[in-house]
Amino acid sequence: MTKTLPFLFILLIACSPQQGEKQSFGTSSIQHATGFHIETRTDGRYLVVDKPWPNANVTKSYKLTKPFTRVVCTSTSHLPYFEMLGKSEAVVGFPNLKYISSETFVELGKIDKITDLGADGNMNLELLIGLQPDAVIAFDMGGESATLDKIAEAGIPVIYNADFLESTPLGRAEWIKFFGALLNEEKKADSIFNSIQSAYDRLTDMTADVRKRPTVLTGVVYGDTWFMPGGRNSAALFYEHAGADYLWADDSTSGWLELNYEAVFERAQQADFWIGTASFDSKKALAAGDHRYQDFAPFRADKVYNYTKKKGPNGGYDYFESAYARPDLVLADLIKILHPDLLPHYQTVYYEQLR
Amino acid sequence: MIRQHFDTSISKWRLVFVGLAVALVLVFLLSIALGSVRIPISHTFHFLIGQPLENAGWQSILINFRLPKALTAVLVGAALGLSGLQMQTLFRNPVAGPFILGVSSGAGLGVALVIFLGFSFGVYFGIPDLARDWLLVVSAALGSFLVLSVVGLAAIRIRNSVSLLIIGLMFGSTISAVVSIMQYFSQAENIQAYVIWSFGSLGSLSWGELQVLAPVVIFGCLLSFALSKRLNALLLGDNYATSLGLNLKTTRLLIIVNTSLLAGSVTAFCGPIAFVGLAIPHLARMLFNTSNHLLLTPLVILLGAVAMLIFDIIAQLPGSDAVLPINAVTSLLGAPFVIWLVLRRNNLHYSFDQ
Amino acid sequence: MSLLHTHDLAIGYGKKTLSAGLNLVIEPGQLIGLIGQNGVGKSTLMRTLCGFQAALSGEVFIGEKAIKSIPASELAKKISVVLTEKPGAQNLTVLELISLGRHPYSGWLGQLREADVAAMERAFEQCQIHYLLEKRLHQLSDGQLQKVMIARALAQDTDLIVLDEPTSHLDLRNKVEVLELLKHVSTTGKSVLISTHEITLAAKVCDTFWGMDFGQPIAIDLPDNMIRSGQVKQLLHLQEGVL
Repeated sequence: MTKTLPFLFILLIACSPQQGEKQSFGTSSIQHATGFHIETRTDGRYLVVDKPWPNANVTKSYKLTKPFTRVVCTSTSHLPYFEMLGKSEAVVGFPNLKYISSETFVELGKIDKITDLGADGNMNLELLIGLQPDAVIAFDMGGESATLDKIAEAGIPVIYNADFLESTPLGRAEWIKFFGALLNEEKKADSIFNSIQSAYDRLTDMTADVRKRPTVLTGVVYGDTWFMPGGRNSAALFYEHAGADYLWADDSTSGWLELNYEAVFERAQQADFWIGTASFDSKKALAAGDHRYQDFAPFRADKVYNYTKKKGPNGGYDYFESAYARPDLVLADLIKILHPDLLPHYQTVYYEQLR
Repeated sequence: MIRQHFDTSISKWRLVFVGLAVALVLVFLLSIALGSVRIPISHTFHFLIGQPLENAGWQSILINFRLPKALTAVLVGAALGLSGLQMQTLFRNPVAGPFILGVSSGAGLGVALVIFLGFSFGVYFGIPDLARDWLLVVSAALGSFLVLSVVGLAAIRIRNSVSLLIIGLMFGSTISAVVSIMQYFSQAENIQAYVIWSFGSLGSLSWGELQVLAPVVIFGCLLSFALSKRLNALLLGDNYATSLGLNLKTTRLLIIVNTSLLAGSVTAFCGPIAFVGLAIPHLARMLFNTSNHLLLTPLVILLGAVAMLIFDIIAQLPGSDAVLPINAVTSLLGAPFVIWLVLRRNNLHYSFDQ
Repeated sequence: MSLLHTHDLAIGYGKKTLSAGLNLVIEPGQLIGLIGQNGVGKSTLMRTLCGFQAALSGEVFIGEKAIKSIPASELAKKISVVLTEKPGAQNLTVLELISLGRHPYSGWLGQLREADVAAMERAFEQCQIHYLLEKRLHQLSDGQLQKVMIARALAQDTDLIVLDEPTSHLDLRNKVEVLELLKHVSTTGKSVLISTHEITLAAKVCDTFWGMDFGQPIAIDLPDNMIRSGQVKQLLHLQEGVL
């Protein structure tokens, strides 16, 4: 008897979770995003950005040690994640505050909690370095940036955010976990994303068996060229999940198509819906842009919608700031437009009908 | 003996013009028949003789897309060609053209002012379409006129053609900078309208806008004919021209007004279109070996129209859904031509360098 | 009635007076040679007499009218010029160039009428350049080009033709041909004023020399007199024995 007790005790201790393991909160399984992941190495946990910029052939690994409490962001699309994670005050610097739509951040800017760093391409580096932030969350389009190099030289970590390279809506939104890892809010990030994901999936299920899929046209013409999202583009996926028949779904690219206006006219003149009209926010504006827009059936039938409903205090469209983080809301908006009977009580957040 | 020579001349030129006119008609018809959407020739033919088509989509494409675009191409080619011709003679420089001398930038400034100020005062969409179109033409022409006047004034003092080009380029840059500043202070909608304009496009004119552009260009062509005699006198140089009785100041003013009108109005509606104004006059001079403006004016009109139609057909990438921006096509074909031109300067025999 | 006369004319640029108190007369049918060193003001005088440049003071009269009051299009029927500068567009044909001489007379689109064609024929005749009709300017030799430029001025059918150093780039034979052509022109009733450095050749054809020197009134005399009296030597500051 005296011999089993110590044995049981040792067994008990042996079986209980390690002290070390108990510290790692979040799940490191990233299901939709392909641009980053979190891995545990011998010397600690790392946030790895697999493709820091388009056509990159290197990865960037960032060791997760101290959580960041003071960061500089470089894109309005980063800000919603901070807000959702309750870490708005962690943003101490941002280029061009006047582009921000979020009221929270605008207020913070007004009381000088966020330093305006000037135009994006030519940020005031002196101010930035003077802030001594824990890191700069940056994005780059080509892998070479003199500005970012200078910041790194000054000893400030540059963290590449490549969320814009994701090709699915959920993949893009999952980058909340990227921020969660950096701000030590992984658990919160997980739970927020899970609820977004389940909402999104529920919505997708709702439209899976819909009887009729209305046809959808999107975009506007620039000069003689109509820029149309490809069939595998994020935008196209939204339409598919919203129960629509996107007229260029047969295309297999995930980028943008440059189409001839008359080709678009032939295919889409009788479309049921026209969703997404760049900066045009009224039928009058649209008609002034090109008189032939008036010949499209959705224009005549008042079925033109644009993401111009929500504006920030500075006049910018909130869609470009917060929509990427809330694909569930975007999808709900689209379903409300395309199949209003499925969401009778829902009010659209971003999209409005053009009048 | 001179009479004999004139007679043979006239019959030769008659042939040339008839030939060019026929070519123009053919290319015009071709540009209507070809496009991304495959419309059978028989249907196009029926459309042209006035029979309505059963396929409403095709009818719409022919009448709202292809026909206006073809007409626009004709107007643009003629107007830009003529303005380039006159600028080259006025400034005695073979590398003069609406783009290079900053005239297109001037037009851009005029357009930008209308768009940005119109938006600021909230009236942009309130103005009736016709009024807005005329406003655009006038302000673009004024912008071009402003630039040309400054460059023209400089031309009186500065003999050196290279200096003149530099002034034109610098002016163009300054104006672009001013426009950028305007964009910086504007909202997304205005910027979008301006950016769309700056791509350059032949296809965006409505029939109403054509009804404004066509008379302006036709007037400019007629004025160009009337100015041919003066332009010919200028070929000999300022001193000889004066000795022939030419009032230099009036002549310069008329040419500048005409050129601004032609280049400005086209740029207002179609955005800046590169190389056409520069290359077409040279093509005309080289192909037909003449410097006589009385002949060059109709030659440039016809050649310019034909060339622009051909560029447009290429840009449409007929049969495929894709499309090339018109400026890409004119630049792709125009730039090598200009380079070759500059390299060949010594053999041009009309370099005008004194 | 003299073709051209000046009254107390002063010529120069801005503050600089090159010559003043000029009372010159050009009669119909004269061939006048304007001689003097470079920089003395020959070109300025010619430009002022043609109306290209404003006089500093005094008047130039064409017939009875002050030159200032004659519109350019009318003046073009009175005075034509041949300058040292090459015409810019070298790919013009000779015929086109000559027809430009009819600018003051031709129709508003440049149409040439009977009278215009006749004048051009005469010009071709006088200069003996029919064989050059279809050639381009850049294909001509210096001598041919000069004759063509003179033909253009002749086609302009003016009472006075002013030529700035018409023989300067030519070889001896062409110099002689040009001067003889100009002499012939002056016998048809037109007046010709040339500036030149070819003293010996010019002396043979000119009726009068106008000699310009710094700070001196213009000397007007028969060429032979001027040469014999040594005045030409003085004007040109030449060594003894050159002439």
